[in-house]
Amino acid sequence: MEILWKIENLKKIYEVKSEFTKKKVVAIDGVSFEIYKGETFGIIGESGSGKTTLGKTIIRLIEPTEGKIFFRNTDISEMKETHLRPLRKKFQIIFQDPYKSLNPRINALRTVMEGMDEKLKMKEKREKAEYLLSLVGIKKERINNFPHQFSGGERQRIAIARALSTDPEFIVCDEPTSNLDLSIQAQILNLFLELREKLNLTYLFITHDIKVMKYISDRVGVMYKGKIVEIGKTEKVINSPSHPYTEKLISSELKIHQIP
Amino acid sequence: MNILEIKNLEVSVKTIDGNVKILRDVNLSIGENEVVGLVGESGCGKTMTARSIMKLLPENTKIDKGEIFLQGEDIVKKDEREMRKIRGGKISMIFQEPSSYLNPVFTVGSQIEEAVKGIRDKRERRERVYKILEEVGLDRSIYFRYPHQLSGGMQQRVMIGMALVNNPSLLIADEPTTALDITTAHMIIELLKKLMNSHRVSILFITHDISLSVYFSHRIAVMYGGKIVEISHSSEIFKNPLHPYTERLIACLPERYRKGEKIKAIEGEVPDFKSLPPGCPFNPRCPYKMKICEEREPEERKVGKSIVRCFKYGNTVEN
Repeated sequence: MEILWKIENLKKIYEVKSEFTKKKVVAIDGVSFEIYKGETFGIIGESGSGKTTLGKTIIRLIEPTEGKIFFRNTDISEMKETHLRPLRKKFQIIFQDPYKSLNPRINALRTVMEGMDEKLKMKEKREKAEYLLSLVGIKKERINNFPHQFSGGERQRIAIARALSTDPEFIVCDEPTSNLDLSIQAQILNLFLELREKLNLTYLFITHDIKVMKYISDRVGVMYKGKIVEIGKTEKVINSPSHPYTEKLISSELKIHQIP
Repeated sequence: MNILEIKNLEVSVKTIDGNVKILRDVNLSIGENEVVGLVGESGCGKTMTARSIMKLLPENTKIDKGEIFLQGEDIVKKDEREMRKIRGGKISMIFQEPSSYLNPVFTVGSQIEEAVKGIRDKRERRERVYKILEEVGLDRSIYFRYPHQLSGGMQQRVMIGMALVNNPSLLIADEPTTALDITTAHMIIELLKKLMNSHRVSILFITHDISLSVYFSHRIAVMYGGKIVEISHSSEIFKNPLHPYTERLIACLPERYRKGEKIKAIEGEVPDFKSLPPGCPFNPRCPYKMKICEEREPEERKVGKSIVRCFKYGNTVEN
């Protein structure tokens, strides 16, 4: 299988300075893994384990302290912003809270048009945005509405359309369904799978919900205190966890959420 | 005797567009030492039901009709002065976000102690707080800590201690584990199970997580559009869901599918109270819709041991 991302010994260390002390916080502590083209790679862990930092560091929204990031065999970990710029179109991110990630003063259509290639004509941009919005299931008569006129699930659909507007190959999905109700989560999960097939996408799917991860991820990395403590095929990690932390996580889950 | 008995409760909120009914004909009872799960998606009226029982409704919101019997006494008729004795005494409540209910400038111990101000002797009062801290699995030294020094799980334990220190007969738990990590959530649920037996308290467990509710509750009430559409035993609900909404909601659980299999999602969105459809609130999304569903609201009817509001089970009330 083709390797899309190769991460080698990635570290992110924050220095927290106060008046008298200087403290180092290790958010990501030497992480290495690969993501294959076309798969959904899941990252699971509890709050504060470094999941989100990892997702953002890979696509250089956060600068790594150490380590290498290869995207299609090109090392982007130290690439200058001017060179990185054209590559950035290829990777996108979808956030957890669609109430915060959309600009309240820009309507749905413009939200999707904003990030598109500048070479496109206005009319082309509009047509493409209309197509993407219909692809994610926003009705045509509502595309000129503003974020507050949409429900949480619809906003997340708009955020997905916006992520697709630059024709990405890879999307970091940072807990995209955690704020949604069960019936809406089901709709959005279906949409993610549908888009992956249709547009040939690769996902890094960050979640704390083992049930969602089991449903969507092909392989998974378990994060704990900045490290990936276990990595493997989802079924294998769930059915025979090898790290004690994974075991604890899964046994808690199975105890309180009996699978019907 | 039932600890709590809600009968024909109707609650409405005054808005600029007129009165909007948010709870309609809610009937629910909780027995002694019983856990009843109240399950539904956001905006279905779960929290409003809880706040009606506490009589802590927001401004412009009032109880129009109905009775809420707490150990045989109707609390709808009680005034604010009497309610103050009941809250924290006979009923107490814990919330989703413990950090926003704890005062950051006082130690957690002094905040628990406030609930037992009735005890005159200072030493006795202190002992009572130490005892409850131990019961919720915290060290006595936690008494002198401030909320920000505690983790989310510990804060929730403090809240539980505060709620149970006066031995209430009913505890309302409004999404107590939603903000917590799964391992912590598991511990909190186990703690509640243990305390439920040692304190002989009944629990109204509000959650959006139906499988968690099955694990913790004896009976489950499913809410939709301000109504309780089904009440069933938790051992029954996955096997034999009666209301189409319950059935479809369970079908939305991703763990019921193989990887990549299409989830049978419910089309559309949870309706807004301002624009509830005529008839049964679920009818626009219901796969079994009949003509009558748009014309009339279904009454409650008994099916086996369960109660359900759906015309699928006949359109006349049988008793």
